[in-house]
Amino acid sequence: MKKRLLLFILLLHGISFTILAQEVTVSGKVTDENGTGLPGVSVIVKGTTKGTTTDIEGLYKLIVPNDKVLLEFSYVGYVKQTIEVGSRSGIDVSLKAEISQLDEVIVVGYGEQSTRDAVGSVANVKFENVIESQVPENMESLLQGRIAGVNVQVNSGEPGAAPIVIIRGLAAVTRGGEDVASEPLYVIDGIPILSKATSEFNVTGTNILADIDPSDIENISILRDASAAAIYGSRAANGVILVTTKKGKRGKPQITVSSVSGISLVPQLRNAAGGANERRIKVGLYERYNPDLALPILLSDSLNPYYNNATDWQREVYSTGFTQNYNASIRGAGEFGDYSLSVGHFENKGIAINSKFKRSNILMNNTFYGLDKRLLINTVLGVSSTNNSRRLSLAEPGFTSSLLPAPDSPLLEGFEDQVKYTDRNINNRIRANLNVSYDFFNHFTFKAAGGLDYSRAMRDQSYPEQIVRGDDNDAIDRSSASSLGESQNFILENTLTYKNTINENHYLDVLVGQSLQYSKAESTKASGKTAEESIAENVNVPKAIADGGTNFSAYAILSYFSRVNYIFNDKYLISGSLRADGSSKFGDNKKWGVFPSGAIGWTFSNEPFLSDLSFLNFGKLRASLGLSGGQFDDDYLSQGILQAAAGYGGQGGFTPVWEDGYRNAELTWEQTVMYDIGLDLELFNSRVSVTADYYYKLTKGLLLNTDLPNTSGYVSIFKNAADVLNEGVEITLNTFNVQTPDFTWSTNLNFAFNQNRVTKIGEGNEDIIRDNGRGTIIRVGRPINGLFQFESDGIYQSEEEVPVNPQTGRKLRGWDGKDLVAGDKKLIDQNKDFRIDANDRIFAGDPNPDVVGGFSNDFTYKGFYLSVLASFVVGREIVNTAQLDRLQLGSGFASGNIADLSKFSIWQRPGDQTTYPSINPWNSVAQVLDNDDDYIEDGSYFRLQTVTLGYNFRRDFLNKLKLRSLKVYSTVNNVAIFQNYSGPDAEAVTLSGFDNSDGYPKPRYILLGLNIGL
Amino acid sequence: MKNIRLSILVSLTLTLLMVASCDDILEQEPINTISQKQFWRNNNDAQLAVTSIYSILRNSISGLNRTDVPSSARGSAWGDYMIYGDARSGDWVNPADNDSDWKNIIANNLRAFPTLRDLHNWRLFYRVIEQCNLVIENVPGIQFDITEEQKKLALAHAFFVRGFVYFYMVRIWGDVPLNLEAENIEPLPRTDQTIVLRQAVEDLTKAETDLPEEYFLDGVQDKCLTKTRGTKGSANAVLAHTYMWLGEYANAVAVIDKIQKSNVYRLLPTEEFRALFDDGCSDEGIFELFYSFEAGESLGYYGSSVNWFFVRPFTNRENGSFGIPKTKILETFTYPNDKRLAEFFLSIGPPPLYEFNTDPLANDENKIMFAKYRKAPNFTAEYDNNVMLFRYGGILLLRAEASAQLGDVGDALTHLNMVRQRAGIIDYTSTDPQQILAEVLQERRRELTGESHRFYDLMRNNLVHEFTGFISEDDIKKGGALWPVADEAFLNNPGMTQNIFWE
Repeated sequence: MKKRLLLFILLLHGISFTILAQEVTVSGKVTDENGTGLPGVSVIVKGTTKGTTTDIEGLYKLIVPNDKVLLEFSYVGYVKQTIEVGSRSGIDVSLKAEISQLDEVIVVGYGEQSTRDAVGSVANVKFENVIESQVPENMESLLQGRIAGVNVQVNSGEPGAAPIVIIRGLAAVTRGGEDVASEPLYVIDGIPILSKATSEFNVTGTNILADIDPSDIENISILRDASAAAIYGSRAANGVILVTTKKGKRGKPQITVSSVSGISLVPQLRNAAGGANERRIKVGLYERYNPDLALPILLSDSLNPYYNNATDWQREVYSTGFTQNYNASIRGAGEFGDYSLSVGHFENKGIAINSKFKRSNILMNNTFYGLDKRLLINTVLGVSSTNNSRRLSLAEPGFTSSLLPAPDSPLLEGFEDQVKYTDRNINNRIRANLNVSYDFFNHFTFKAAGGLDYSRAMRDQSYPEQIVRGDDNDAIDRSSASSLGESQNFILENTLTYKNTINENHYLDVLVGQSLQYSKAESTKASGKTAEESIAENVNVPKAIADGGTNFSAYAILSYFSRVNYIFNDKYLISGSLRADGSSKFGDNKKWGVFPSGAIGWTFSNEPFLSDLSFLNFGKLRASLGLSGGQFDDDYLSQGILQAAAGYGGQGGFTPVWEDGYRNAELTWEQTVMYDIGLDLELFNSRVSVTADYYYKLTKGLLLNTDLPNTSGYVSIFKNAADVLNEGVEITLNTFNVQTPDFTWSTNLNFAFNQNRVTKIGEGNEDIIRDNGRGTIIRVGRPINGLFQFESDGIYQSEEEVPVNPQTGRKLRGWDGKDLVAGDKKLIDQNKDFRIDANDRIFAGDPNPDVVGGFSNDFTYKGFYLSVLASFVVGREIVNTAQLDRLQLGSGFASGNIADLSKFSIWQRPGDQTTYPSINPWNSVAQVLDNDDDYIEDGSYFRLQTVTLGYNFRRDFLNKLKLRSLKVYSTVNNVAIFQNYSGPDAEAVTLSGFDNSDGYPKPRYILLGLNIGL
Repeated sequence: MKNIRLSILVSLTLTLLMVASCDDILEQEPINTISQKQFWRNNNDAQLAVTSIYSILRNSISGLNRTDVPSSARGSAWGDYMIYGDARSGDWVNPADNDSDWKNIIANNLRAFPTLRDLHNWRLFYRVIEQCNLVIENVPGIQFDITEEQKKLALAHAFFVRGFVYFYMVRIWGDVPLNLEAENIEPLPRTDQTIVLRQAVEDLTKAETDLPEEYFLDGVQDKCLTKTRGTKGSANAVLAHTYMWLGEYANAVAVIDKIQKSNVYRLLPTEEFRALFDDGCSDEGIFELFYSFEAGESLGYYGSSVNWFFVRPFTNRENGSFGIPKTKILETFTYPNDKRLAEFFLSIGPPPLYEFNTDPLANDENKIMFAKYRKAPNFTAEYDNNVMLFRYGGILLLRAEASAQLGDVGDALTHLNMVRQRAGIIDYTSTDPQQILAEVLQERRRELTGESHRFYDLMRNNLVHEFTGFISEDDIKKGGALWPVADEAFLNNPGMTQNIFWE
């Protein structure tokens, strides 16, 4: 016993001896340049994991093994400092704010990397800087104008509508007449999410990404080239958007409350004549084109008070909207882990009657630390509910005549109905992730991640009153429809990472992993029609003619992947990745695709022979080449789907789905070959940084449906048939123009030049003409969605001018078989077959923009800050179809509103040289055609998108109020647009370049925000 | 060390779990429908495919548009069989003078409106053919749960309908593409109509061999099944018409003789005409398209002309859109005491409807409702009259026509007078084959009025121009009695040709 005691005492002494002999206690304060204490600064003994963090005052205390050690002080956004302890026991440090973004750690696929070490083309947006610039409805529109090569087009002003995001050019071929965008893959906190649902299952049509509160987002990384994106292999072809939500940082609980509220103002609306003017115009049309026809009572009975109004119906439908957003969060961290909880509520009442978008959301992001922080268990739970009330389309040509009386008049049922109509769209969503990562053998990390993304969409539409009047003998329709769609996405991923620096100069980072994703979607739809009055807002109409059905679709992807990053001497960077993906969507022998990528980088600024160039802080050349894949929406396209045929004698049957059920077991991955050459520079003490990239992106085997000869019975066959090339240059220039303690001014200019063209169609490169000659034409050598128009050569002044086929003696037949008369457009019969048809349409314009970019300036003066963002599009051709639509009158024009035709140059009599042909409403074929090259316009625009002015209250003031931070700001969004275009907004066009402003015009927002930190 | 072991264990377990569970996850198959891959396993599948043949056949003939739903431009299906088979015969008008679509059809102005385009399109007929071809190619390969007899029957249905559809299309478009393979997506040119009709004869003959005379349920004839699916009788009826079109009158007589000898069919007395035309599935019907309101297959949706000739109190319209004017009725029904008149026509006027023959002279020219097919007067679209394609009465008259062509006066008169006696009019007694032929055609005009035969009768005998002012003999030579080939048929099919008149 004594012996043991002795041993113990000796040991104890030994230990204390060691301590007494070597250990040093260091303490001090870490401040920013203004002398304010910085909490949460990491103070670490270099080369070890030993360290601490500063407290709320910026104070720290640390015991170090000896006085030879180096202490590293690092904090996000500040330049790292390394100091030798020496004989000092008190070390105060002042950290300088970092303006270089090189050492910022950004999220890349399955990991993190500093910009300095990246060889792929990765861009990053910190949301703190952009969140105030817009109504925080969705994250996509906040990216507009921020990143070179990322083209965000917000082409509708409707609350809840989805912006179109295209990275490095459009690489999807329009199918079935609908615009198809090449959508990027969205990954939130490491887990790929549902970013779209095919129209069949996305029953609400609300932007499925709008459930994410942008206030919760820390930053977004965008992987543009193959090297960065290929690790996501199968779905990376159109770029990857990595979203990182806010997490708790070290320190005490931080509570933040923010609110934004504002109004939205009605923009320029469509041209409509009112009152006596309307009557005059309409009577004029009767007199000119159909003098024998009796005028309808609406036009002839001008003394009748019901037909003697000048109601501006657009004013009734559009009014100032209101928007508000609230978000509260608490975040913090400790030895046990870190936590983040936020709640938000957003409402945006649109400018059109009955349109509104609401969102309520909760997001939790918590991590538990175990086993000396080697085991991290991270859980993310996001729950949200959006409610989108949609308005009935107001673009209907029958939109009411101004001659009709006020909405409260019992005579005017039509308008009342538009108001009573309800269309409620609810999306509920739960995203839950569990990540477990475990560090072992010092260099290895094993990570297992599981995610569930569940989205439930529900739509109830009802027309309680007659909205569609049949003719005299039909029952009046009152109808309602309800639909429910559910989408689920399960993901399970395992990765093993090895990271090590060997012999100082060799940095190696190896990743192997495996992932399994299963997605399924289900929908149930019911609709009913009844002649009875109903106040139910969903399908609850006994004795009605009811209809309904369910649908189901599922797919799975199984993947194996690996990546190696190697850096030698901080100068030479090599990265390679390989991914194999199998998808259930493809034919039996075509399921698997292998997607390799490789990249090299050379940080030439670290070469000794360039060290003399003092203005060069950093310079890196990058080159990458890789293959990534894409798949299409339809899950069973390769299998030849059958459908239940209509019953015969009460018995059922099965037939092919004629539209797309032609079996093609050859269907496989779309493949994108991309190479990228890039240059990153930081100059003049990092006050100027430039990133330039050239890329070549060839998407091969795009899914394309080709119309089949109708003797087959089938409508079309889907094949991997089209190749599309996008080629371009991206430039980003950041400058810190003025950098003084009181005043700063920084500028960001980014733009991308992109050319898009189809390089292959099927085997024979034959044109594909959609929609019976009316739709898009896809032609090799021309861009996707190219505008193919009739070449127009004035107007026939007399019928004799119409060419006659000398062989048959027949006159040239117009579009749609129209007999050409004086006043019709003289469209050139290109192929001389004396028939104006789709073969006479020539390439006349490209709706894909040549240049897309953004220009932002940020100023700070003491506590004030001012941010100005402009976005621009150059080199794009579009057609003002909304305006042409106003001239395509039908014989029922009398009861609708009408444009002030005196403002248009319309042919009336021989000799008139006009823009528009005659517009006889009684023609069975329209005379004004959308496909007329005369109507192509310049779609370029420069939009002063947002101006934000804010003020951060000073610390001494805050201290009195016991606040951490306090900020007020005001933002004007959609400030002004500069354009040559005749329509209200050149951005409000479809991907095919046709005006969309009738759909829902884009309002101007004026917002006020308040941000309080406790 | 413990932690390392733990971590290795965890990683291995997870990895193994993944690998074990992933093998067949890439085999995803639809659950709310099935794919070609999963189909064609047993007799039940063969039956489902066969039923679909008839279902699409009904769609194609009754006028759903080419995407399987009623054309939105037209609001509802029109009953295309009447448009093809009756509208241009010269007997029909748009009584209310209110519908330019009908007026254009009647005036052979078939390119006039985009709304008529669906009628140019044979797509749905080729869907029927594709469905037949799928059955013909896939049923023989089914290995389990099917007997050879069941296979034969399934194939016989497919051959029957394929033959019928080719015959039907030749009457509308003349030369048509011949597609005899399933999943055939090659562009096909039009084939000479004689070759197409030969193919129809071949198909129908094959079908006739294996089809039954009647279908039985618990030992009793299942009437509706017998009338609405292929039988020996219906195959022979189509064959007879096909032979007539080919001018092979002896063959026509031979197959009609088989129908008569089968003893499955009889002429119903006129008192039972409601059962014949409204209810369907009667002893006289040979081939009818089945409509069952109870099974959700009402005419209102699946296409019928009745929508267009009904007035109050059947629907809430005052005037029909499609009907036969008084002068044409008087011109056609020339014999006194014709019992059919009251069955086929009602007059509009206060009171709303009364029998046409109570006082024909009192009626207004265009105030006649074509009333061969009726339903409960209730203003709704809830009715389910079968569409009559071939019936015994018509087949007897066809035999009379064939025999007259062959100069067999006795046989012609026998069969002509069988139908006349039922109608209560005097026997025809001329012995001149030409006169008999003319009278047979008149009798078919009376007997089969509104049953989509008249225009084909005129075409078959090259008489179209004599009965309608809208189509001249010259027009007919250029194909003016045929329909235009739809623009859609020219898409991705460089060898497609148009009927000259419609170029």
